[in-house]
Amino acid sequence: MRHKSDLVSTGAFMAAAILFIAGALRLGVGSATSDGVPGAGFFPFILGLIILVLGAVQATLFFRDRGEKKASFALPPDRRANVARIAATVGGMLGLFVLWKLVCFEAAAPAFCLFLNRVYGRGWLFNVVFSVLMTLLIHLLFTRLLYIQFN
Amino acid sequence: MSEWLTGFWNVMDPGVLLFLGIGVLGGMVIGALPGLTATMGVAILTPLTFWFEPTRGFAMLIGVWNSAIFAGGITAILINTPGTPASIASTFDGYALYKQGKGGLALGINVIYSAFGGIFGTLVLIFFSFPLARFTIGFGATEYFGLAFFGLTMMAAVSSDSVLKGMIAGFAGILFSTIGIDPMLAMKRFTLGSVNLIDGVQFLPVMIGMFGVGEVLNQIFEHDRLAESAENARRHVNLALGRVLPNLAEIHSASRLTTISAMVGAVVGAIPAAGGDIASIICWGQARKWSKHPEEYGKGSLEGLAVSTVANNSVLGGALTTMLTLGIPGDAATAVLIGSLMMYGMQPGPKMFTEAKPFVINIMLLMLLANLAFLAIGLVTAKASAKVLAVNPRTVWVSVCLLCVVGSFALNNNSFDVGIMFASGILGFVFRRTGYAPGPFILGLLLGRMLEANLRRALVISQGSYLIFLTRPISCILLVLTVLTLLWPLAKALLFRSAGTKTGS
Repeated sequence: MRHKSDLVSTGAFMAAAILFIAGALRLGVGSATSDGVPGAGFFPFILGLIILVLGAVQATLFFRDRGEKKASFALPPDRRANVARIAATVGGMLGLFVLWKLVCFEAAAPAFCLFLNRVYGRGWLFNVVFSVLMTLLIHLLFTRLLYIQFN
Repeated sequence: MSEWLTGFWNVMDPGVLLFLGIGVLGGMVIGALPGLTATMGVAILTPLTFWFEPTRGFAMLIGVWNSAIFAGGITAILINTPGTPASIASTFDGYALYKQGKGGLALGINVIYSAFGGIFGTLVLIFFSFPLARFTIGFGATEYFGLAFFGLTMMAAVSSDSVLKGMIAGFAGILFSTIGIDPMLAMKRFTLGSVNLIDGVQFLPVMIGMFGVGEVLNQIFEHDRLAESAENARRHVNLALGRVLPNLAEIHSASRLTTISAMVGAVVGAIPAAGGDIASIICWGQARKWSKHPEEYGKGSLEGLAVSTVANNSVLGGALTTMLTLGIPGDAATAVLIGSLMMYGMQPGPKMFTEAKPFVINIMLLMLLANLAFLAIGLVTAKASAKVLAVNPRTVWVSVCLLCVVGSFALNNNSFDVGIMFASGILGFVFRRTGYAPGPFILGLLLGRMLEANLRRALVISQGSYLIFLTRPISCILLVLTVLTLLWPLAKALLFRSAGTKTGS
C-alpha cells in the first residue's frame, strides 16, 4: 500500500541527500594522495547519490501507481482530537524541559504529569497521586540511587 | 572450565540476581502491555543501566528482553492482541483456547515453552558462538564491510512494507552516521560548528526517541476510544482460566514439533534482521503441515501454541550468536544491546571473545538464568498476569514520555541529547505514519561508522581497486547475497505476473 505523502517524504530524504552531497563536495571526494585513501567527503557523497537514485525510483513509482493510496495523517471525525493530544504531548515535553532548566526537575515533572493526564482526560485524584509518585520514584532512582545531578 | 565457574559465581552475586529479577518483572509488564515492545523496554532502560556495574546492568537488560518476548504471549492469549510483534502467531491458537475456558493452560504453555525455546537458543549460543568467533577472527575489512551491508539490506528488506523505503531509511541512517569526526582522516564533517556533534549523532538518544516517543505519538494518533471500550469489555468477560500446567501426555504429544521449532527459531534468529515474528509464523505454518491434527490449528491447538511460543524465544539465542560473534545485530533489540555494550566500552565481534571473554560467558549464563527466572515467576503469576492488562495506555504514555526525557538527559548529563531524542521522536512518528520503519534507520546509524571505516580501509589495502570485494570469497558471497535480497521482491513480482498471465487471470 502506497501512502499519499510518499512524494513529500521522499522529497525530504532527497533534499537531505543534496545537502550532504554539497557538504561532501566541499570536504573533498577523491583521493588527495596516491595510496587510494578516499577523501572525507567520499562516503557521504556516495550515500547521497544512492538516496537520490532510490528517491527518484520511489517518486516514479508514486506517479505510475494508479491504485488506491493510504492517507498517512488523515483521521475520521471522531478521532480528530488525537491531533490536539499529540500537539499537547509534544508541547508538554518541551515545557517539561524548559521548566526543568529554569526551575528544577522536582517542579517540572509533576507539572508535566498533571498537564498530560488532564489532556488525556484522567480524573484529578488519580492525576495528583500519579504525578507525585512518579516524580518521587524518578527522583529517588536517579538522584539518590544513581547519583545523577538533575539541576 | 574455570572461566565458566568464575562466570557462574559472578552471576550468582545477589546484586546481579536482584537486577535480573527486576528486569524479568519489568519485561513481563512491558511485554504484556500492547504497544510496548521488548526493543522499547530495553531502549528506555539502557540509560538507567549505564550507571550500574556492567554485569548488573546487562542482567537487567537481558531480563527485560527475554521476559518481554514471552509476556507478549499473555495479551495474545487473553485479548487476541500480540503484546510484542514476536507473539503474533500465539494469537492463532492462544485466544481460541482462552475462549474455550482453557486460558490458564494457554498461559502455562506460553511460559513453559517460551522458557524451553529460550534455553534451547541459549545452548545454541553457548555451543556455536565460540567456534564461529574463531572462524571470524580472520575476517578483514572487506568481510566486515560485506557483513554490515548484508545485515542492513536484510533489515531493510523485512522490516518495512516497501523494500525501497527500507533502503532509503537505512541509507539515511548511514548518512547521518557520517556526522562528526571522519574515522580515517580525523576531519570534522557536517558538525555545523557544534561541539556536541564532533562525536557524531549519539545512537542511544536517537534510539530512545524513535522507539519511545515516536511509538507513543503514533499510539496517541491511532487511539480509538470506541475500540478501547470494546476491548475493555472483552477483558471483563468472565471466562474461567482453569488449570495452568499441561499434563505429561500433552507435553509428549508436542515434543517432536516443539524441538524442531526450537532449532528453526535459533537458525532464523541468527539471520540478520529476521526476528521472532518471522520465526513463529514459519514454525506455526510448518508444524500445521507436519502435525497429526492439522485441523485443530487456529482453533485452539495446544501444539500450535507451543510451537509458536518456542520459536519466539529460541530466536533470541540465535540473534545473540550473530551479535556477539560478528557484531551485527540480529534484530532491533540486539541493535540496542550493541549500543549498551558500546556504552560499557565493549565492541561486539570476534575480538570480544578474546578481550572480554569473561563478560561473554556472563551474558550466556544470564540468558539461561533469565529463562529460568521468567519460568518460575511466570508460572507462579500466570493467572495474576492477566491483571497487567488493566493498566490504562494513557498512564503508559505519560510514564514513557517522562522516562524518555529523563533517560536521554541522564546518559551524559547533556541537554543536547534531549534535543536529539526529541527530534528523533518526532521523526520516528513521521516514519511510522509514512510507511518507513525506524529499524533500518537505527541500524544504518549504528553500522554506518563500521561500514565506512572498513570500506575505506579495504580501498587503502587495494590501492583504490573495488575488485577486492569480489576477489575475497566471503565478501563476494555476502555481496551476492545482498544483491539477491534486493532483487528478490522484483523477481517475486515478475514470477507472480508471469504465473498470472499463464492462468489468464
